[in-house]
Amino acid sequence: MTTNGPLSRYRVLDLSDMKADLGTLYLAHLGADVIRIEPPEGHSTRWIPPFAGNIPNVERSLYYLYRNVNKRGITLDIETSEGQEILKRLVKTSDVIVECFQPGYLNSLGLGYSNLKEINPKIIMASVTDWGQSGPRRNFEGSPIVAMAMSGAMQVAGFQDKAPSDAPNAMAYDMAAVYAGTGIMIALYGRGDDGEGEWLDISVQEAGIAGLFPWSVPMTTYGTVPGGGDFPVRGASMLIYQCKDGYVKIAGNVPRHWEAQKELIGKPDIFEDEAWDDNVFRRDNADVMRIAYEEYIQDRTMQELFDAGQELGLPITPLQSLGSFAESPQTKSREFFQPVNHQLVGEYDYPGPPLRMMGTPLSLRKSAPLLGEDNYEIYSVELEINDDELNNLKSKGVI
Amino acid sequence: MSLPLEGIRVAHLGQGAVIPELCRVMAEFGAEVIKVESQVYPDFMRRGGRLDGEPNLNNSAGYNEANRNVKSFAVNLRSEEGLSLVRDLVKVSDVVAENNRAYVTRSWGLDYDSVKEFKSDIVYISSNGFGRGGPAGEFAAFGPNLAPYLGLNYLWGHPDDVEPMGATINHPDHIAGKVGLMAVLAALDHRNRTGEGQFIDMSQAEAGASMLGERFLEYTVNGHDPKPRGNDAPYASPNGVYPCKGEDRWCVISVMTDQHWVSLCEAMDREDWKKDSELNELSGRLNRRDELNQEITKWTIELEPERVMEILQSYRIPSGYVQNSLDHLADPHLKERGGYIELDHPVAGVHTYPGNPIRFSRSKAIIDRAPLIGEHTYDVCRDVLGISDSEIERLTELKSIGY
Repeated sequence: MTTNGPLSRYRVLDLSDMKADLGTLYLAHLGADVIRIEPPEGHSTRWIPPFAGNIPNVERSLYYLYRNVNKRGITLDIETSEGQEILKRLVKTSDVIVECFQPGYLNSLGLGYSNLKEINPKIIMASVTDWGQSGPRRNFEGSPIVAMAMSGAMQVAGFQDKAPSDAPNAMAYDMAAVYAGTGIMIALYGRGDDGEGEWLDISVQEAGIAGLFPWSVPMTTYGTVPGGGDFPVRGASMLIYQCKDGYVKIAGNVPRHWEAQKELIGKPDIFEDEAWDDNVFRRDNADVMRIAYEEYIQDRTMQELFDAGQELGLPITPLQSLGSFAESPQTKSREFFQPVNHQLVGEYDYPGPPLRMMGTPLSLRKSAPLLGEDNYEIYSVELEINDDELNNLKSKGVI
Repeated sequence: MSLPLEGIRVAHLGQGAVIPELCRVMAEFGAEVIKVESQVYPDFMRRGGRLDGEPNLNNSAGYNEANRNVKSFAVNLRSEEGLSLVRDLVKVSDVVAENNRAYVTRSWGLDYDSVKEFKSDIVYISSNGFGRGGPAGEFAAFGPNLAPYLGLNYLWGHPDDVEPMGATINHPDHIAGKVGLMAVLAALDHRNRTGEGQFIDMSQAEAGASMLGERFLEYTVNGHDPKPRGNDAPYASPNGVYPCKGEDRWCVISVMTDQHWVSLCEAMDREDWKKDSELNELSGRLNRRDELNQEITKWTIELEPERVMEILQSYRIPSGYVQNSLDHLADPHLKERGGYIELDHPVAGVHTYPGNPIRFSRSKAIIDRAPLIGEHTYDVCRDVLGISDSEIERLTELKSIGY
């Protein structure tokens, strides 16, 4: 069943890039009419490799295909005066506009928050930038790996004898994106139908810092994440364990989990010393624990350990590849992946909304827009721009 | 001025990270969040992540960060009277937020099906590691379990690492808390218009996976199960972390565009690179990244990482350095923006916490310290539940509250 979700009354103008496209994706999943606005030659994220079938093409970037499902798409050159007028007309009927340009850029085009709220006092504008709208670094350049490094996350990523390692996606950017999405929802709720809008200033660096929880305070207090023992990892608080066919992670946070862990591995003598009953002591001696566990764990498979842990109420999870997660019975059973048919790429499974809303079901309603796919619908039908004018805009390269 | 979420009351039955974060952000923007806990059944975070000193339920750095602005209502959930008080609290709340295993809330009579019988318009969110239903729907999991489970650990590292260690960051947690909050606010908006509440079933593993969507398409569309790529990126080269002068100091550099490349050649005074036509395009720079990385390392190793950033930013090249938390405290940019704040706590003392990254032009988040366990029990009984002083005294003696 295809349904629209709880936000179907709201319209979002999406001028974002990698720093906020996950946030607008979640708004689209929740049912908002998200309109992706791209320059006539296409958004830069359409050229992020890899491509479907490894064929470089403006319609085939996996990145773009994933992050723009459930959105509509139009082309518009906002650097032309005609383009600016059209954007202003769209702002009149919109609730939210999301942008990631350098601070001051939209202002220079007469499209800053102060301009847009004149047109529509209810508009909520979210500006997501690497460093925020203020501060001495506000005009610095950024990138996904720069953001990850400056957020502090890389100080605790990887082995000590190598360079700190970056996440396998633009993670600090995604943190900023979900903070933007959350801030937009807070502002929409607070605004109601008649209230005033807001300008939301999200700094990627600050959003990334929020992701250091629960280690922020220990790190600002001690300069490091305590734990891991002598194991040569950057701030590992809980180590992984090698088993017969891979690795598992064991997380025990409460006293009964510690009892369950001892039971799992056959109560070795070493843990009779009651110092081990203190979770801070265990955290500081994780390397010793790891050796004690190896004997039991090395002969068992990930699945055996997953099941044995749950039998004891102890959270043990297998370390899986993306493919294994996608194929796992739990993922299949919840239908997290859903088929999406894209007219040029074909029909494939995409990750869907990560939650279920029983009263207002969510779904993958449509594939990412082709370049300019909704120009006719939005310009001719909704804005009622006549054919002559539309052709004129096309010939000028505005759309 | 009033805050955007004023008027919303949340019955907070969660613990750990995801639901507390969801609730904290609501509280910092004006919602009244009442956290149900007790000394016999404390949030596990009160026991973990503690700072130096004796174990004390009020001295956990993790708890004190995740529960800012929240009210603590100490109720004994193992007593029938305690459970009845929590049901009364739910009757006057807009939202129930919890992340217990399914059987736990059922045993309290506080699962969604039970709650909707006496509070039909409740917005109720359950957040579980693997989501409800399916073979693992009742399984336990904590944040550190989920990065390995969903594939994040496997990919987070250098291709030649001895094992897939990943990072000490519980990442699905932070995505899940915010996605959950977006859904809760959307559901409240729907309720305000229709009078209908609903149940929201969130999988923290799926929340984490949804941030890796394009990597999953490498598998489902291209049939290739992704492998770790270290600090390489398919969209930038050179792109990486480079050693600098000093102990364990590293800078980061990303050449995202051809213009960045020309600027880098100028900044490093490499006319030879500029003339090398192969390097004018991303594909050529990707093919020769090892060679470029080696040459860049020769340049950065002589410089402090802050200096590399200063030089390259003056050429408008994306660059920075691996900041640790002590760098953050000294960072003038973060200082000017208030990226961190200090909070005094009667037991834990003064510490530095991250601020709230949601910065509005009008509504400012109010950030107040986390509660002592049971700190607001009396206030909640009297002001929210309307219980008389003598009855509060009786319940306290019975150890149904304040326990």
